[in-house]
Amino acid sequence: MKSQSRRILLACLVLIVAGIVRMPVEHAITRDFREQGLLKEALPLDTRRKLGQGLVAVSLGGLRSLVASMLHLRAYGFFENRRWDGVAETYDTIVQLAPNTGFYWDNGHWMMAYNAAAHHDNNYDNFAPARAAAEKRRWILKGTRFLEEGVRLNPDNARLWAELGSLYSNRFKIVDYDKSAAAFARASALPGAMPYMARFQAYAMARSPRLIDQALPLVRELRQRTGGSVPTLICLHFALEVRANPAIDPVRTAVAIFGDEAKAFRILSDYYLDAESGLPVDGVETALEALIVPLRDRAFQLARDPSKTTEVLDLVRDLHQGFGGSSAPLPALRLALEIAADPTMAAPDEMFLSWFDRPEQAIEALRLYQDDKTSGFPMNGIDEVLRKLEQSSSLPQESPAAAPDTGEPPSDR
Amino acid sequence: MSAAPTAYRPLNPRRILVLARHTFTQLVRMKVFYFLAVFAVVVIGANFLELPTDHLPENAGTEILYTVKNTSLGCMSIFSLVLAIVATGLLLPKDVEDRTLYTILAKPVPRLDYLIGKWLGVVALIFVSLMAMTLLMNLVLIPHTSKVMQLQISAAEFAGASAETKAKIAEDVRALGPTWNLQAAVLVTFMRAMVLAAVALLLSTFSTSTLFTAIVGFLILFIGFFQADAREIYFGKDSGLAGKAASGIMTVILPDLQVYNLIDAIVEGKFLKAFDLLKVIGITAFYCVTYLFASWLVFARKEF
Repeated sequence: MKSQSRRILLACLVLIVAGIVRMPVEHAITRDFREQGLLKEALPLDTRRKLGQGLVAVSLGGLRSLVASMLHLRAYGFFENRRWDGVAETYDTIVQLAPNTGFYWDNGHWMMAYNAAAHHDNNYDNFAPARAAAEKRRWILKGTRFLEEGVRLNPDNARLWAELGSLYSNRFKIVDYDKSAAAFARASALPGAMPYMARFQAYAMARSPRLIDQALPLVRELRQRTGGSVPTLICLHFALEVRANPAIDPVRTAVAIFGDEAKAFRILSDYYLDAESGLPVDGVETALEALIVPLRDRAFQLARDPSKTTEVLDLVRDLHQGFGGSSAPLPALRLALEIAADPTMAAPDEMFLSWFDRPEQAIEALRLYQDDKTSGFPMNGIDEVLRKLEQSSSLPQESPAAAPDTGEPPSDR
Repeated sequence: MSAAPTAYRPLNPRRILVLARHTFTQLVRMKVFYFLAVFAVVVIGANFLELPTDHLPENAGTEILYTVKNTSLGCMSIFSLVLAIVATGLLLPKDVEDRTLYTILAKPVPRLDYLIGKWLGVVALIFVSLMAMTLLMNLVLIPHTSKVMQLQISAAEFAGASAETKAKIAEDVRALGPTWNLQAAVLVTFMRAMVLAAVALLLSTFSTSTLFTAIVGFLILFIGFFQADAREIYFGKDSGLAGKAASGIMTVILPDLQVYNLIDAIVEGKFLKAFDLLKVIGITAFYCVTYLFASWLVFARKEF
């Protein structure tokens, strides 16, 4: 028995000596692993408190990422029940556990700056409008701060930088184009950056009054790269060139940049009509006004030739959808050409109606088109569509005899 | 004084292997492998935990890779730790209860060989189980990884990404799949279980109750996770004498299990260098030798 006690004491001694030997080595290894990011620091006390005893115990055993996954499921439950504080708190804990998993930062900011903000934007809680607006702003800020912390801890994550850039240039959030441009610049400089990140940097610069004058060299460079023929980028290139040299001929510049007049008109129209984009439009209106005249003349000329129906339809579509496209006779001419191209098309009246704000305008446009007997334009389906529209509206149906016939060509406003 | 005959000399590999095989069979008969069915259900279930998330097209599908890896490694950790403590704690008392121990020790079997054999049996069982689980995890991850890769590369191609960008995307996705790094995480899990089995073996040499071994084993496991922090207190300049003494004793006697928490970083996609893995292997070997030697010191002259 005495011998056994001695042996137990000896075993303790072995453990102590071994412990003393290994302690400094382990200490150095742990420090090295922590510096490399292979081991994490102890969780902050408030995170431990939020996790609860069970999850703390699991997270201690190298299973922080498992706990993060479980909490991600819990956060989704909060999201489904629109418990935004729960969502935010859970994501705060998740990123404490897995700070280098970009996915959680990305998702957490999306939950706060987009979902929670949209919830208050729609005011589902029926708050007073001022409070709902304040709540929306609070959640946008919370999501933004969350993502900023994410990029601070993961500076090499191009996707997080791109998300931050998008958030800053989202017009429904708290816009800061300077910060957006800086974030996209960081994103596009990292390995694995998608081509759109550099383009978005250029867009943010072009929207920023402080940076717009520095955007042209970048845009010129991007035009040479993959994705350089993206319509918005080409339009921006055009606008910035005109901005830099106001004396240049916008039409000639447009044709030089876009390739041909029809393409220039179509793409510039879309760019110009997107009034909320906030991108510069220097010279765009002038170019469009100049481009539309010859294009309309060509379209009208071709439209009078029944054998060119298919050829002219695309041009008329572009003109109708583009700058000044709602002016007569483009909508009615397009309708006639659409019916000529596809006589069996379903509900042409509904399609025609959708091009106008009010049914009266649609009926008026068709009547004018129908009454202009000298135009020589196709009349396919016009009578039928007009009849249907008149029947479905409360307007009195005009007799053919009462129709004014001025003998003048249709308006070309 | 003449030398002991070869048959009596300790550390005879054949004898140790026989004992290890016997222990392995003994544990298999306890239906331990049923856990694999539970594991399969959990991993297959994790396949379907795809929640609506904020995915850029070029970022699609990564969540499921994290989920599968997290749940798989989590299950592996829990299984290996519980088995290391409970199975090892169970073996010695069971051998005493079944009187198998007397039969073995009555033969020319050195007690060190008996202990190592028992420990190796448990470790082999954990190894085989982890291998089966790893295989299943990889089988689930492989198709997911190729699917995610396909999605992200298609999105990148659509966006006109350069060959370099696509290569980086492919590299990032591959890092989240069944890499050698991930297999290293399983190895780290296994090594932690080896250490804990050695600790449980030491405990069971002076305890005759499985319950005691299990409770103390789990306490040591829990304390082991704080060891690095305790060491910080010990080496810290601002720590008081009492704090230094308590943390010093704890650090010296009990194993530091925090060093095995590399699993988290690996799951997040961090690369574990071979040299770092070697350091962990070295620490594990040191622990196993120390605890097995201490077990033998206690067990060598123990009377039953």
